Amino acid sequence: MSALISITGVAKRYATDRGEVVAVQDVDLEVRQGSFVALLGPSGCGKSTLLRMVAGLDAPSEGRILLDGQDVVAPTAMVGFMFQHSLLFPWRSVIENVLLPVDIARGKRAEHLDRAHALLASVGLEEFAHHRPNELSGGMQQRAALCRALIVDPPVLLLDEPFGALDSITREELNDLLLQICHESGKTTLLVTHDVEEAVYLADEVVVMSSRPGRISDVVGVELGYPRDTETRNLPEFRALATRLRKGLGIAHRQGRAAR
Amino acid sequence: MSIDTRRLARRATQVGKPLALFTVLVAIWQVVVDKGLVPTVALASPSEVLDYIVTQRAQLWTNSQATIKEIVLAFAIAFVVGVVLAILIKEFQILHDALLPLLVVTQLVPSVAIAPLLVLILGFGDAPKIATAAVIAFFPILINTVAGLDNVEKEAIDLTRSLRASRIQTLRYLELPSAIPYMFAGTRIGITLSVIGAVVGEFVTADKGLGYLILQGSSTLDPTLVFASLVVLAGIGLLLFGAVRVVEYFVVPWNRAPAQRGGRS
Repeated sequence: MSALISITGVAKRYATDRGEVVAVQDVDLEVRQGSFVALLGPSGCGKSTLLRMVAGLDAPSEGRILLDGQDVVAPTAMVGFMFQHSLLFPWRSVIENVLLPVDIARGKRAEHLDRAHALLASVGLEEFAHHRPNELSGGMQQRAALCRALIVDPPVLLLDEPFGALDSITREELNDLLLQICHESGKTTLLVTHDVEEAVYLADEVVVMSSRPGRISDVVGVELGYPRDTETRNLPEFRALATRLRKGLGIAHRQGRAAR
Repeated sequence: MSIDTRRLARRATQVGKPLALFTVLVAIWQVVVDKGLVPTVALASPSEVLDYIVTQRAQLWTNSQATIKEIVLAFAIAFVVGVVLAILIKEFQILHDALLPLLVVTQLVPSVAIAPLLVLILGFGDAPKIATAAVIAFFPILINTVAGLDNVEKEAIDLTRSLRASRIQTLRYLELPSAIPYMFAGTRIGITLSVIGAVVGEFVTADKGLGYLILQGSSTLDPTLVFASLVVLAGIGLLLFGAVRVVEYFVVPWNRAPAQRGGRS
């Protein structure tokens, strides 16, 4: 299949008080339509910066990013973005938060109401549609944020450590939920994470990044097949992959330090 | 349920303690005047003041109406000007850089001293009083609203950007709603300052209103009139402040009680 997201020779440099910082350098990456790719790396390796550039939130200093053959110069309607924090607006009810993208796209709420309710039901929040976000737990807030990212049915999901602030039980629950939704809807997903297990469990390709400057140090295919469940985590292949990635991260990290 | 009753009980003691102290102070005041410990030109006893308020209620009411009208109009102008200016300052960097510092500097001039000038400009009647009160009241509304508009999480802005919101939409869907609690903080100060401004205006162009009554009572050595006017003025101030709190309670339900269960993650 063709690449839906295509990144070539991308670099990102920031000017700071202490001179120029290279956040990302020499990144080439292709993400096939319908695939689930995890960007795995230590904090500060530029993986979030890379994701933000794909989303059109930041502009690359060098190189090109194509989304479905189009240069990304600004945020596009093709992308649903999920942040580390739910960013639900406290003055809106849960369902109104889910409908925020519809409001901003000047769509008709009534036409999306059924879908909004269906999405909330699919993440187990149907009873909370008219609650306020601060009445929800952290995990529930992130479920609502996922619904908000899906409401206008964008073909691409960009997830910036969406479960990073959650406890591990909630995170595993949400991983299952995300996997199910992405596969049922055929989304192309790019996930930023620093959690090795999360990367292996969710992705069919794990891209390992090293820090300072952020580069791709390894690309590992995850041939575990779908559907995946708790048993998957116990498979020897799963463990072997996780170990390989962990080692990769360690080496990648040390190389990064030596290069400094 | 039990939490609600407990909160109610806490509220009751919150109100009860100052109320008890107030009662004691009023009682002391009454005794001091009754025993003739101070000259009656300086202090009227609480019972005299109360008696005056009851018997002269028509006069007090007429003048209260004038003052309330000035306060409410001045506050409305201050609110609209404050919020609109805040939005313009937020949206146009040049105004933020050029106008805001000037506005801050103008606050160094005691606003009370502007009242005579406003009489020169606007003549007599209600206009200079309303203008004085509005000038005094608008600044905290403006500054708090600016702070609220500026205090939006960067990530939330990224969210609206990723949804391709226009500037106006970002303002409408994100910045303005998140500024509302700040706006109310400014409004609470603004309504109190409106009362002060209206009275100052009445001091300068004395023809009617509670400020005028206070001046009259002072010049005719009538402390009862002064105290009665002050009590009514305090009541008006409390009512208006309470009204703002009530409006806030219904407009900002998300900022009401610490119902935070899951944190912000």
